[in-house]
Amino acid sequence: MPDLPQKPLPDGQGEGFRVSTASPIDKLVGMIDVLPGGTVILSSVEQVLNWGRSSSLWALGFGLACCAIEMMAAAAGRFDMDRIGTFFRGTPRQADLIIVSGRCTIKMAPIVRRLYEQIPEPKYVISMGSCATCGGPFYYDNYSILKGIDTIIPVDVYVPGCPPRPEALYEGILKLQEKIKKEPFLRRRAGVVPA
Amino acid sequence: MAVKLERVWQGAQALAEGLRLTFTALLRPKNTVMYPLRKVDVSPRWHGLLALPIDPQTGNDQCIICFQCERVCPSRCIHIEATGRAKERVLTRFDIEMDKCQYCGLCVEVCPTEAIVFVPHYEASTYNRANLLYDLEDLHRAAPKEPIARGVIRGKVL
Amino acid sequence: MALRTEELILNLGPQHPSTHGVLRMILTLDGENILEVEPDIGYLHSSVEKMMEYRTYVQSVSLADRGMDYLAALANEEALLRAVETLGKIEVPPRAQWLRVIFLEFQRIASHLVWLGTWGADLGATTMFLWCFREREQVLDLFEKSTGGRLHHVYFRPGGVYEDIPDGWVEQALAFCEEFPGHIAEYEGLFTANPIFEVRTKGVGVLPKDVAMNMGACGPVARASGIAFDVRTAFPYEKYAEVEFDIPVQQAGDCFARYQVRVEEMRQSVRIIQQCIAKLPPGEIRAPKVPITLRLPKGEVYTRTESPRGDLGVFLVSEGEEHPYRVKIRAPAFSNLYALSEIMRGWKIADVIAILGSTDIVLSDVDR
Repeated sequence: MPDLPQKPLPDGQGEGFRVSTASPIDKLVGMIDVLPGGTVILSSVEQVLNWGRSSSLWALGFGLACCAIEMMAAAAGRFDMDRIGTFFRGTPRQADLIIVSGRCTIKMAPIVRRLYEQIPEPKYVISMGSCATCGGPFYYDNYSILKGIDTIIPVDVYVPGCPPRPEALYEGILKLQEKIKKEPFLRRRAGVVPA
Repeated sequence: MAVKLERVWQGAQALAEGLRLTFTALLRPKNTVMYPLRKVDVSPRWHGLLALPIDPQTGNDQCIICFQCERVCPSRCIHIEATGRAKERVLTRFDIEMDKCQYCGLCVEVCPTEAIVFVPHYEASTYNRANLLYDLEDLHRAAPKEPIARGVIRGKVL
Repeated sequence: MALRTEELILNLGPQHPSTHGVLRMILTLDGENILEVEPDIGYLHSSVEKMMEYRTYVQSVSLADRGMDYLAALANEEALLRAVETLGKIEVPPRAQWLRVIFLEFQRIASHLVWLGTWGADLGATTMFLWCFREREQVLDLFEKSTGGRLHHVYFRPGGVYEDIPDGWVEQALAFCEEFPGHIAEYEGLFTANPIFEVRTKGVGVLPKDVAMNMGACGPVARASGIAFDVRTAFPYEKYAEVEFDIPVQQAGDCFARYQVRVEEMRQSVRIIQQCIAKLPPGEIRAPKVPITLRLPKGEVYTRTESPRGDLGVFLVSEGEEHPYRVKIRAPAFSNLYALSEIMRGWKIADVIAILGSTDIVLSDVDR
């Protein structure tokens, strides 16, 4: 694809809504934050919101290679991923989480990147298995595999294994939940805390 | 009309059969593992994480620095360095890149002293990829207190 | 005044909940009818053939697990090692041969269960997905106890297998064989007589016998079109000549026939496993004196095996070194994908997923 000339974006629209202050909620957060004791109120509200967000991580039903089979096994009866609120949606518009399961080729990389960009903020990435983490067995002597999915999208949790057991994927999701629970979600959204 | 009725009857029969099966499945024992609370008994042969168990008698691992595991590794993820000559060789570096490892078990197979083993651990998720580079200390720590008897090379069947 | 119409080009995939892997299909549509299908492959090309040229034969086994058909890892190991052993004239001890047959058939069951489950999920039967994976977990438990891996095993070695089966494994395997036909009957109870399933599969996606032959279709896809060919009986390898089993053949060539063939194959696999366990002799499991850096004599060889997807062949050229000079893998899913464009022409867009699922392609096998 040829490089198209970049059109300058109006202020506040460049990096998505992370820095946008247009929403009334964000304005309210900004106002509360400067009040004395406002941070206490905001962090309590955030705790409740984060509890809800972390317990209903909807993943994008998207498989690349062998790890996708273990991901399916994790979603099936024995390990039953619905118990921790994670289940698969067919479209990135409804998902919070993308599990990159398996090796990603250079041909597939733009599509993974586009899928990631189509997920609405806040979004999370789990890199499942050796191949997604750094190329794994396909690191050397190989011309077609991307050397790690973190070269194209930011990864939150790495799950090692080739392929990881379904329980290992579980542990990765639980770790991600812990991470989400600590996030200053509202303040980051309002731009009070740097992203 | 008769054909249509027959189709309806067929459909009803199939529906009844499907529902019967579904409801019998209700009465069967559950096979869901409540993972974070209860864990599956992993087989002793499971290709989990790699470790260098410490021998309780000598207080050190059993590695004799023969470089066989480094050579046989298909993903070339083991890095060994040593100083000294012949019998006085000392291990200065034993790194395994767990993110590159494919858990195939060839290093465990070729090791002449069973110094490198699989441990039935699999929970090693991390926020940072650099944590997946296991150095000697990590590999010692990952090993369980009790030595895991694979014993297959010795002709014993688990 | 006539309504202006035009052909529509639709991309299906590479990310689609029901494409098995990362296949992109460029469909040319006239309304809902499919005029042309052009599969675009290469989204999972992992260049294993090239990588094997830089790996020893034992190291290539672990690559064959991952880079080729990942649903049937042991079948890939067998295909590669058949070539290595034929060229190197390595004798495999009888116990190892019987063990290999047992594991290959378990692998076939596991692979077909994934196919049936995902195909069921594609057609809207979530129960089938859950039930098939329930039984598959039992097979994977058996694998884990013996090989140490659930999906990728690295269990076969040049001249045998790595480890003997553990104590109590045989009993567990026999118990599984005892109860599994009952589970197959359950699947059939859900699917075979179901009118919705019948309407979506019977007569849909017909692949006539002559077209199947011209397109080089193989495995269950060809057998559902009336071609009674199976490498296990036509060119027996390991101990397949010493066990009795039937090759299920259907004449209809539609999606339903492919479903029937695969379900019957699972029954036959159970039969083979039971016979193998009865005949399993004691003894060595690995040929002595096969070094881990094996050198094969100069020469070339082509061997074929029957993977769950069909005729899996390996062409291997050796220059007398530790690593092969060239490995070419003849993938069954690739030729079945080739037949797909013939099957799909003229059907509605709603049938695409049913037809695609019924051919059971694995993109890792197509692209390698």
